Amino acid sequence: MFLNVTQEMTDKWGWSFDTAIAYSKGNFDSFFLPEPAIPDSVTISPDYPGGSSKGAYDFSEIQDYSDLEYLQIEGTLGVRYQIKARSSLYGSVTWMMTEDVKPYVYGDLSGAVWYYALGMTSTF
Amino acid sequence: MRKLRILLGATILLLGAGSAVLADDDAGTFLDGTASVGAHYGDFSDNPQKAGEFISIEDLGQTNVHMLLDLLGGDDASLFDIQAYYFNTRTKGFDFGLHTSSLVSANFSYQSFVHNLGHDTLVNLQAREANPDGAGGFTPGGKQIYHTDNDPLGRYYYQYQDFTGDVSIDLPFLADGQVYGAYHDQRRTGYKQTMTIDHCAFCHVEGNSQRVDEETRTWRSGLDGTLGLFTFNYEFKRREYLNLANSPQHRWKNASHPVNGGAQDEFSSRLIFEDTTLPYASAADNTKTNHFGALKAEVGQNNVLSGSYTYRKQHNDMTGQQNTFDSWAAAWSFRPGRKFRVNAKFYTYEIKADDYYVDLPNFRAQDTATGNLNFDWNRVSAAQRKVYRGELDVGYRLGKTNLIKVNWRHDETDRDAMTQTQTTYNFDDPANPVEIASTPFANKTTTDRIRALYRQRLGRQGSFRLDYTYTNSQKPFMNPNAMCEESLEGTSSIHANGRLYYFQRQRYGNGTNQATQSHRGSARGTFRLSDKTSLNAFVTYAKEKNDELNIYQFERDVLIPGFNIWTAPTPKLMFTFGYTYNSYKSNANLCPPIFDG
Repeated sequence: MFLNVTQEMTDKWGWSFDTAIAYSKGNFDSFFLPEPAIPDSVTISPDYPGGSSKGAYDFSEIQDYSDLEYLQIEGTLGVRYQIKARSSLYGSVTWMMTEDVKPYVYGDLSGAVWYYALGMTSTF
Repeated sequence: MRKLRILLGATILLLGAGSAVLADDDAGTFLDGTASVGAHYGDFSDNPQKAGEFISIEDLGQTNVHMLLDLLGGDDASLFDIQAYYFNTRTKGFDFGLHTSSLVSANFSYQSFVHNLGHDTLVNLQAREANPDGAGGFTPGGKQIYHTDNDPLGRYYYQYQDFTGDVSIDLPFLADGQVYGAYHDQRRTGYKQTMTIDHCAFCHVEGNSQRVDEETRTWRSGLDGTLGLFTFNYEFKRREYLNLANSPQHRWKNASHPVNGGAQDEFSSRLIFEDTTLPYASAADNTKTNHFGALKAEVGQNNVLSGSYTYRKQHNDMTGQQNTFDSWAAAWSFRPGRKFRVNAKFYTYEIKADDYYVDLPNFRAQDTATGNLNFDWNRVSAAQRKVYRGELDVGYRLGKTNLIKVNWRHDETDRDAMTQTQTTYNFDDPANPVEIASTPFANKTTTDRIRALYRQRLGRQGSFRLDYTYTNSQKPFMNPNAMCEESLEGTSSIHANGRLYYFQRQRYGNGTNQATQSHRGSARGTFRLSDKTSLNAFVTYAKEKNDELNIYQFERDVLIPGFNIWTAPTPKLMFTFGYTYNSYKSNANLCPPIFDG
């Protein structure tokens, strides 16, 4: 989703606002994994878990590891002031934000970056 | 202080450029442009890696100069344009174009930017089985997984640098004639995270920092022209990929039991290597050369015939492997009237890739010294194939504002890699195990696609289009025998020899994300709602499935609606707003191997 607004307020003053918003979500459904069927006649490793059940693996929560959810917003608010016919001053604030709702593999990626800018533009 | 000097220098340069413009105007030439110069300060909170995925993190907390220059100039015979920007030492670029007297054109471009990469913390790789102790509690078992991050503070990123330059010279003695040459240089430097795994597969996973320094150089040169009814072109292209960084090294330890630690024979009898340092994650230098020639002829007023040939050879400088690509294409375009248009195309290509023989030490299943099982195999490249494709396209203009198009495409693809089999052994006679291979899978994929398109113009009020595509594919590309293991062959258990509790068996499950049947439809329109407002809306829906797989049915549903709206309530106030929704739902089959031995 994005929104851009540009307005020339007066002959000298103008402002603009740009923003882009992205919300992403992904997940797996849960799944059922039956215990392996091992006949009693088969000799199994002494390390094999589970005693008589011959299987103690639990996959009931594995789908939770796949959940990903990000909210990302980028926006810039800028103002411009015309100082001469072909020259203007400008200033802007840019904000980039990520909210990591379900941190997982890469740790918590939530954070923000700001840029504050000032300058002059000339056309000729 | 240094940045202040740059800022002042740029401002002075700007004033100087303005003076130069006035001087040039007097001489009859022209120069138009825009120049900006300023400074910016970057700040951050928490983790800036993802929020600032394409910014230079090291510049945060500092003030930097930025500049932008856009120039267009020339005279009656020549034209040039320059765009250049500087944001920081890692983010900058320029474009330069020059066109002189319609004879020579030259364009040069350079871009540099940063892409920050993720750092896998590996913390999810930490588990150990719990065995019932018979008294209602648990004791630690032998199966476990753990991790080590050898570079816990590492920051990973790529610095991309891309340079292109091309020069073309018109040939006045040849209609539409030109010769050209071009060079493209792509450089990727930085650091990335690579993983190593130790023996017993994924028991111990380590994260490491790897230096990245890769360069891809591409040269192109060619000739275009028209002689009578014939238009021709030829191009030669050569591409080199160079890995300029040294391969990282990893120490593989002695394989030993994760719990009792002393029973090395239990693993080492079946290992190819241990207790050694070897390179990993190596990228091979390679060279690719390509020849392309095409010829087009206009026959009468309503027929156009065209054909082309491509030959490409790629060589892997590390392994000596190579592959070749041969392609022929022919097309006929026929326009019997103002309302009808028919296009027919035929295309065929063949990729021949060298096989690779995987030579393994014999597997020792019966004791620690004697290898008696051979698992060598000949790897056939998945790229190797023969493809035949025919396509028929019919367009009919229903009226002044609407038309309909129907397209049919038939594909046949033959891939040797899909016939590769799995190997296991029958141990009923332990001294003479019998090798058993699985049944080869069919190697030919046949695909038919039908597409219909309707397009309507609404005058000044906009336009819309509707299209629908049905694709039917038989035995699409898949990884045959990729997952899920059969039971052991024969009646003899190999488990009782005290060393081996698991043995490779045949896999039988086929897996793919390619559909056998696909329905895909989309609608897109642009509408002028008023003098001050316009709307662009679109929706794509796809329903796909593969019911040829032997252990599950693959399904995929795709829904992508969206719209963009533009409105200007007053001459000095403008809004643009857009929204897109993407939904992908799919499934896959899992057969996790349960480690035991």
